[in-house]
Amino acid sequence: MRQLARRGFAASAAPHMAAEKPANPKTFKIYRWNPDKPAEKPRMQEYTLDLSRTGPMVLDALIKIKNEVDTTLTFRRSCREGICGSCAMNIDGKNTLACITHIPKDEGGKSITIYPLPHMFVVKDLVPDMTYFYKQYASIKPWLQRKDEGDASKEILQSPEERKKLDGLYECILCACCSTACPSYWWNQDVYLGPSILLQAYRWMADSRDQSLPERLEQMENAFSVYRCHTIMNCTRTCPKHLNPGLAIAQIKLLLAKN
Amino acid sequence: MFAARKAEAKTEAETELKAEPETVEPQSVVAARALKHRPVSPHLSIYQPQMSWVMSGLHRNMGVLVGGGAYLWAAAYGLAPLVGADLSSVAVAGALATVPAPLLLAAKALVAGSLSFHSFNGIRHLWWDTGRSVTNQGVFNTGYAVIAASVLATGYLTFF
Repeated sequence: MRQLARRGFAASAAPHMAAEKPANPKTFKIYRWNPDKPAEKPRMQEYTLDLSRTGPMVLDALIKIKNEVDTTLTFRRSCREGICGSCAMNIDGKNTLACITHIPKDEGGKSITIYPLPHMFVVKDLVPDMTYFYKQYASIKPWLQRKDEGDASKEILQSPEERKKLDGLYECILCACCSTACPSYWWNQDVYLGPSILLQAYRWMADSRDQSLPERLEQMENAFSVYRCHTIMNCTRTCPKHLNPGLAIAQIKLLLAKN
Repeated sequence: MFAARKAEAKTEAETELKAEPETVEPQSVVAARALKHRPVSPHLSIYQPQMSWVMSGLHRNMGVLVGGGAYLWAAAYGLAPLVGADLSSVAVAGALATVPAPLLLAAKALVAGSLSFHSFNGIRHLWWDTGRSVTNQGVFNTGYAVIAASVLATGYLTFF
């Protein structure tokens, strides 16, 4: 177990290499809030690291701070390669994944500022409460729905063209960077599904094997679920996987207009 | 003597044991309190200014300014005779002639800018609603086109 833990946090090791490099200090300003002292207001805490002894990514720096400077700093992380979506946070004003974001090369000692995903309830420090987001995801029934029973032992085939329609949709990792970058989602989180969930909704509408398009569209026929989207496009701008939730929402609106 | 010490130690241990359940709150209580006080993470004030949402905000606010202004003016125009005020074009032009030129130009620029930006950006929205230019590059291209058109139109409406 100890061995595992050490391997997991290897990013902050390798001091033998650092000895040859000159010191390169960088200040990280990080949002802190502690649920054990709920009366205390959130605050920004500064940590200065030597970049020549830190891994290249923002997540490396966070792990180094937690390992060597302040064990109370709390954040989510898992895969460290941009596929799990756990370390989504607001870095220098943009929502992205800490693990695939390079620490900016020093520009005259400019510090780097890290907040949790915007306009979310904070569990602790950089950890937002995702409960409602996941409930919204479940509400669009994100699974294949068939009306004819068919032969359960046979695959449901798709032509290459039909399969191609899912490209740019199936890659979404549900990190919530786009939804929490969206002002409409900030102001109407309780009724508006947000770009991330709507991209997923469209992913099932676009699937040739799915047979419940009318029901899926009917769920969107109200003033809020999809129509709170005002094509602001912060979603597409910030997606760390370079997907286009804005276009997926536009496609849903076009489907609604046609049906 | 030893017995006394032992007794003392025992009472200490007892009080410690007794004290503990009173100082440590149940997890449900701690969690409920945290839930009640948990903050909403910062949003508008910390998000990087980007063309996408800044132009959207301008579109909304300028629309409110021009649309709301038009409604208010129409209502005032209709109600003016009832209170004996004169809002005819001649009277308004006369009143505006007394306003200092720089102030008048600034006011004209604000109204002209809001009107032209909201109009051109409205066309951009209609274009987007056809499913076109809904990409990062599309946002930039159409955005710069709207800004250029708005600046030209605002200049024309303000000075001519």
